[in-house]
Amino acid sequence: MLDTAAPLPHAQPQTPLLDVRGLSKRYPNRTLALDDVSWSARAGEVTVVLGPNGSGKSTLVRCMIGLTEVSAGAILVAGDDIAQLSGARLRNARRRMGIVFQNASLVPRRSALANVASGCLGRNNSFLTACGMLPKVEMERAVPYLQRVGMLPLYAQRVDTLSGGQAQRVAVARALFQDPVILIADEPVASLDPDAANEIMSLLAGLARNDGLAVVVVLHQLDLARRYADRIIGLRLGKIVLDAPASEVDMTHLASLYQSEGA
Amino acid sequence: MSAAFAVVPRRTIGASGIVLSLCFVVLFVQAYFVVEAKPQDLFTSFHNILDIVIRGVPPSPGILKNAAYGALVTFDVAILGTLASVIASLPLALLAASNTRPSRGAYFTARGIIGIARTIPDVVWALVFVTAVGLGPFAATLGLAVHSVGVLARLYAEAIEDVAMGPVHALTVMGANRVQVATQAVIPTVLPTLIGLTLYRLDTNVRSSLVLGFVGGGGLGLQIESALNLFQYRDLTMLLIVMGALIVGVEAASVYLRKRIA
Repeated sequence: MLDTAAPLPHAQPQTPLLDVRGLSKRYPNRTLALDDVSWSARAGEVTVVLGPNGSGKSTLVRCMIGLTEVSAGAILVAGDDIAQLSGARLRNARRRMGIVFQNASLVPRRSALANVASGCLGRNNSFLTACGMLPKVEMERAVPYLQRVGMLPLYAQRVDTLSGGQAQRVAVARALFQDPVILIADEPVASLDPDAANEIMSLLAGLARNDGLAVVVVLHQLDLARRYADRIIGLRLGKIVLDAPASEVDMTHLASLYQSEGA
Repeated sequence: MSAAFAVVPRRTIGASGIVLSLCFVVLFVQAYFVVEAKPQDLFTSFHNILDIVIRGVPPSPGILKNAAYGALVTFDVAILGTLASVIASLPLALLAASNTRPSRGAYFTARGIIGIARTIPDVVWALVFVTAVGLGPFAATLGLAVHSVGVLARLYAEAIEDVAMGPVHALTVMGANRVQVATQAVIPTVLPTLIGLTLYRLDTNVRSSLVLGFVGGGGLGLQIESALNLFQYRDLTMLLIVMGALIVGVEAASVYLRKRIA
């Protein structure tokens, strides 16, 4: 049972698992939120996306996970362009991307374990799950994932009674239970205190380094970005203005990313 | 000239206000005459009311067993009607909520069905079903169920529209299909609200079930009507006591359960 939580077999560093090519998004009100954006995320790496409010980070995430239609360009997830897919094929492609939202977005009133087990819904399309139940076998399979994020002792606790950091750990476990190759986290620490924020970031970094996932984190905290990122991407007014290994990025680069916004 | 312009709009508002007030007066005066209201009769014929009350005591204990069975029928019509309406309302509400609807066509169809079910009163629905299943508690149950769908599905849909979309988006991007998102994210999240609305509706349905009894639905309502027609006022008193116990009991249980799930 525990082998399901063992390092995932996709670990091939330097392979782009997520490849965004020429992505543009124009909203119906003619705002150009993303303008010809191209970048890629590799297995085993943490890619941090930075940018001030309104720079297009949220639009980028929504396009990547298929919640918003793209205007032009391609989003290749392990070779499949999810911008071109719909229906069952889109659902299949989505399963390869685990998402962690800003506010955990767990199903309230359910236990931590049940929330993790709901990560099976993409592949378990049975009558039981359609009726709102979770198969016992999936609950058992979810246990090691809860252990992986250090939440096993609270497995039976209702998630609406967990702290922000604990809830976010459960959300990470739920995303892992999908067995994804890419993990996308949209401002996962925005509502956490500094200690909890560091815990979540090191958990995410560990998933890249030990389990070989391509981890993409949208952040606002420059210090966390520099501490945990392998690669930093800077967005401003819908364009990529910075794309470099974290070791080559210094505070002046980052400061200018935010500073010139008001000018 | 400018001064005149400043005054004119004020005068029009004043005039329309007077017209509106007059309309209201006319409205209520015609109602007063149409319903043949004679408030003085309440005082001059008060002894008639007193007479019935006096003839109604003491309540006859012999009818208690029958009354208890009548109360059971009335209660059973309410719970079965409510159960049937819950089963039909859940899927209808998911189609009729703007955030979970699968298509515009399904949304307007569901809203239309809900609207028709709600607009027609339960008594009329029950009379429609009498033609199919005959007089009795079953026709009342069906009538109650259909009208309750109109009320419950609409309230359910409003509760669903207020749901936090975080878990819904989370499950959608995990690859869950539409039915799974509804049953695994939407319904667990709004469940306490849905249960509260249902208990409140059950409470209302017990009263409606009583009224449906008067028009042939059976149960306590029918017994009350016969006692009135046969001038058996001591039986009537006992029936009213049982009715009060039923209503208060169901309401207390409903309030208690709603507090427990909150």
